[in-house]
Amino acid sequence: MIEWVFQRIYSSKLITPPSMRWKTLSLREYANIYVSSIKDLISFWEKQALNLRWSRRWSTLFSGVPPRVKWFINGVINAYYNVVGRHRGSWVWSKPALIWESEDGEVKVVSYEDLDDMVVRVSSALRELGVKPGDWIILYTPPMIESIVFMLASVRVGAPFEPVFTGFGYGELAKRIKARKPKVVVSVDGFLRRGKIINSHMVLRRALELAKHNALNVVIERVGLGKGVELTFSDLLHYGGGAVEDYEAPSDHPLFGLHSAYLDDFKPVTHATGGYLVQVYATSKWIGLRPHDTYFCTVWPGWITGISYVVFGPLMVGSTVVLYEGGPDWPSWGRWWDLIERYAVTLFLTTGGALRILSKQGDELVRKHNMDTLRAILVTAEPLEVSVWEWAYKIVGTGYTPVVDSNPEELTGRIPVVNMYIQSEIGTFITGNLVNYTFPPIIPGSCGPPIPGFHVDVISDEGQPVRGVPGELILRTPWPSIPLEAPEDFYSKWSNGVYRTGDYAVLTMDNYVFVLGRKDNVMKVSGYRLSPGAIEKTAMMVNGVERAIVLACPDDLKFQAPLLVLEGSINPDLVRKYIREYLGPIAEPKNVIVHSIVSELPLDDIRKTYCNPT
Amino acid sequence: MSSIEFKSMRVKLEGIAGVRVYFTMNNDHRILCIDILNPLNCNYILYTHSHPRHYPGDGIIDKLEDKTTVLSPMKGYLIKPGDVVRLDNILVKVVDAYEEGLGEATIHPKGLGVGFIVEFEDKVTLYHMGDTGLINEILNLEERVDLLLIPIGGDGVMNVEEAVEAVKSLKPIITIPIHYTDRRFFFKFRDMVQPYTQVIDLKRSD
Repeated sequence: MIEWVFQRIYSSKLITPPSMRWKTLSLREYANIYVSSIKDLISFWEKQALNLRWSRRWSTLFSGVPPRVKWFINGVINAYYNVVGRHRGSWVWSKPALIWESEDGEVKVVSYEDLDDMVVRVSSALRELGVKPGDWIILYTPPMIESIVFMLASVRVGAPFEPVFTGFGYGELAKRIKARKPKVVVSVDGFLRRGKIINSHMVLRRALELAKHNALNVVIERVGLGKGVELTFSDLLHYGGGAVEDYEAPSDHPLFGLHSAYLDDFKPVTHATGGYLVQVYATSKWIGLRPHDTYFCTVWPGWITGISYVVFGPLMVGSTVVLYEGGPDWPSWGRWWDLIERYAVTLFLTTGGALRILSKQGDELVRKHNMDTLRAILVTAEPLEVSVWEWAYKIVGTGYTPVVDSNPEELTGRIPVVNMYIQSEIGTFITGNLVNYTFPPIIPGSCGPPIPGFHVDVISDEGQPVRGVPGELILRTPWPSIPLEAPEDFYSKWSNGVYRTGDYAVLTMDNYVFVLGRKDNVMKVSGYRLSPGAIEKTAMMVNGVERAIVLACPDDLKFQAPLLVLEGSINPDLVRKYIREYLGPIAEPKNVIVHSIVSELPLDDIRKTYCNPT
Repeated sequence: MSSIEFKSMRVKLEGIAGVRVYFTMNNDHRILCIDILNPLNCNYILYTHSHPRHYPGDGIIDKLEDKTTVLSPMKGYLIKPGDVVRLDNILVKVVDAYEEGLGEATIHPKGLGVGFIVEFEDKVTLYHMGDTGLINEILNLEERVDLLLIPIGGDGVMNVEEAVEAVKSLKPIITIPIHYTDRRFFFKFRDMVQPYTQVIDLKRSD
């Protein structure tokens, strides 16, 4: 698999995009900044922490033995103030915070002031309803203004939240409800996806029954299917109740959580308030976000990129965030380009998988849109082939108005296309060319060099640093947003103070990182990190399935695709359907093979036979 | 077609420069229309001037029900720049809209048309500039503008560069360009003005 990936992503070309011609650092300049940051990481992150307002400054910046470490000890921070409240009284307060477009073209805009008004009202209602600091809130919604309001209201009352991606089915949602035991679950009465109404509220009802958990269900009214529900978002807006002060959170208070994929299942990971906010604010500015930016990120909150770079980072910076409800291919594959064009988007963040699919829809669809406002295209979630990078750089990024020495007629490229590495457990990007900080030349296919403040390395199986050959991507030191709570699988990845990410990578002599995919059998399917064990367990729930094994096959479109091998007497389509409903459509196997005795099958042979990327 | 909801109003474009504004007054849904050629279902109708892409003609207006309020410089309740008219709970401030020029070259001489700054119950303001050039009266306006509908086509109205100047002066939160047919005008306007406002290209229903 890693050879297959490496052939596609490796390049040694150094590219300086015309728009960055006079802002690009030499490799030596980059190295000086980076090395000085990791020489004294404590001071480095302390400086970044001072960019936030602390209600009580920490007594000790860092203590403990990795991975059981804490940052900003005894610090107290008002998280809501640092995300939204900080803009009160500045010009940002009246500007749009969120622009939401529904799949059928309706637009809603809220300013920072409007957003604050809604958050204050909803948080007051939550407090009236008995939500206390430390109570969990789970959201099962697509990107909507109301869901962002709920997340911020949770922050404001000190209730950690977990947004669950609506591509997950009722079984996975139930798992998260069981794990978090939320006091409130937030759903939407339905939303549009490719022209059809998705009844996500029914999925939530089914999940609550399965989890046997009683929680207050608040429903966001979107399509008019929520008649008779116990409490709606509008009810909360008009609930009244006394004024609630912003929650002053101890630095290690839980802020939000996710379920991250491990070999045997999805498991909860929780981030703490202080360290996370420090890390997400710093990296959000570095990747290029500014208050004047209008920013569109296609990753939904429900994945770490969506939480860090839709909910927290851009709002902390004061940017305007574009939220889109529906499918990228509705009514055509030009929908995202249309959004960028019509809202004057300046920064665009998407996944390698999305660009790969878009690149196959024809250049004309892109070129008929004018996206000259774009300053950078940021990419994440999975390895990005050189060919896809080049397509994005030339076809999407060249635009029509020259910048410095770009030439639209020759599609020379104009703005940076930057691939970056992130992981749920780490919380933010840790590698990549930084438009507003360290920007050496881009090497297409790479995830750029490490971001200052993160001591990234690649080591062999024996634990020795390696250059130019595959090894495992590691972090040599803990980071501020190290999880507050994580499964044993996470802690077992640490040895001698080093965190093994579980991803194969090649680190070049110039410190560029080429991430090659997972070392274990955890999968990346269209950018989604999926647990093979969760698929296997789900398949085993179907009557007649005696044994199930999931293999990750390379896939030309999705990067990887699950191959499900079953033992038993069973119709594969039934298993496929069950997985789709219980686990979610994103986990549906591409191929299902039924065999009489799976344990006798050599898995390598199966892989060779059935995993055939074209 | 698409509409935009911002604060208490929902705005939908219609025709070259027409707009329907949906809002609620005392729990009652109301529609304010500006430069709409088919003024069906409008509670309040405002016309900036009498040119055919903005005004359907006296015949259509004469057929409207008595309860519909019409404000314009030429029909219904006659208004002129400087007037302030209260329509139930909304306030309409009539402002200048004209081009500076000589003789017949001027399509919109002073005295022909007006612009409207509409203030809704919650103090949110919408400014429909009418067909105007970049005149001092616009640059001297002191009103806060939440949503601006600005002509950019240059055909008897501001061209792109002039419209950019107007936006820099008015500092609206949201700007929706109107009165243009060539999409390149939008791109040029958008690229120049975006740092000073949030430009939104709202698809029109024609």
